[in-house]
Amino acid sequence: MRAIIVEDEFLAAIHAESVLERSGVEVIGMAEDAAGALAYAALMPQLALVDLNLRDGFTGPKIAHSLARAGVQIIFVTANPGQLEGLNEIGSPVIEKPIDESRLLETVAQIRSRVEAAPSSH
Amino acid sequence: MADARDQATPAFLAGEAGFRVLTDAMPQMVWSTQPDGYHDYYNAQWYAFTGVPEGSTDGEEWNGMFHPDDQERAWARWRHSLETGEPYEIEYRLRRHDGAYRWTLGRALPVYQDGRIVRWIGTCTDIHEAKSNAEQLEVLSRELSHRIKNIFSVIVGLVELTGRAFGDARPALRDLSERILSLGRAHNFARPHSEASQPALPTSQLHGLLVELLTPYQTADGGRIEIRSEEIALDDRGATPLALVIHELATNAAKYGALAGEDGHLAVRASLADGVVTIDWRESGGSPVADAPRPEGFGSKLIALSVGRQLAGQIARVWEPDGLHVTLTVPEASLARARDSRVSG
Repeated sequence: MRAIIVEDEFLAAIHAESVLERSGVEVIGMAEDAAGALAYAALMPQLALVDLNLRDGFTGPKIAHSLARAGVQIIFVTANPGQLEGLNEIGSPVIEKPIDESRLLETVAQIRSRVEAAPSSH
Repeated sequence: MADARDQATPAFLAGEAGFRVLTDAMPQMVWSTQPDGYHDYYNAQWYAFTGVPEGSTDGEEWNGMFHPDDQERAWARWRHSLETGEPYEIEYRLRRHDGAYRWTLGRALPVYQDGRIVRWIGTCTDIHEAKSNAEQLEVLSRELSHRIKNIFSVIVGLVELTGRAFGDARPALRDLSERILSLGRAHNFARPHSEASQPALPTSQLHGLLVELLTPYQTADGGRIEIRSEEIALDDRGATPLALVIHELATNAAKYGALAGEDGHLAVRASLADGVVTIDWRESGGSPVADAPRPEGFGSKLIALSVGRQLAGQIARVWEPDGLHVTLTVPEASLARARDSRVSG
């Protein structure tokens, strides 16, 4: 499984990357804003970890929406899940910061089984 | 000490005219109703604040001065007081003369004569500033607490990155990450919560922290770990060192004890007696326990320091044939600040 991390705090992104790699997910890129994140859509990742507040502002929900339309599975990662209220239209899972490894692995496993059960066109 | 001036109501305050002098001089809005709740008096402050013509809010018209979202609640509370005679107290938004809604504290008490309510006398106090300040403080403290959660992420990322550069140190640094994350959980547990972010279990109780810390090790059917606790108060003072201790015990159990295999079982019981909290940690059915205890690792030292230095408690570990049995005793006062020194509200 290939993933991208959308997070403007580089060390927090490193933590997310370490956890994903321990669970056998390949991290193919990290982005700090909408432009960077959407550029990765061309690489067709299957999973994106998306923070809410990024370098270009509160753009996480919009980025997630665009990526999801491109067939990417989303996990929101945020210190403040309350900010997502009413904005999580696609009903993506939400993981609180700091990332709890067992919770993230469980969520990734659920997504993985869903993706493998219904392979996408790409 | 008695003074002639205390003896009787001054003449100019007696009678209805006196009542008006008194209430109009008060900095609060004052109102009064008949026993059935019919408003028939408001002082000058009410009219100055609301700007409405005199007499226009008599009867039940007062309710229209409240913010539409608060009207029904105020009605319900007021009706309840009228039916029961209980004091009326409510916060609502009251329309000021300039159209702005201001948070207001409304209170009223019944006046009895011969055992029957003959009047209600109430006041309205503008508490808008105080309420706004309190709300701002709450928002600020929650914002700070979110930043602290972020900082935990950054710290753990830094430790991970260091581990990548120094391969030999990687296992020790992984352990360090896990310890830092357990502190993060303690913070998340004891931090100020909004109603929306409030965890399912009360954050002021030891039981909630135990559940929070041990859930990653629980099986789907919930049968592997059993947690029982009496009501024991816990705040940020006790949550941090206790999280470290529970984390060490759990990771050890996951490496060598009852949580290492599929068949093990862990029972945690917490009780309170005579100001001392006892946490009883009993592992069973795990990997066979060697006769001799395992050598003292760094984790054990950390436990000893947290218990002894931070919690002023004691810990005893016994390797019984079926598994490890730990008894942790801690003064109640080490887990939470005394109630009377807490910020009220």
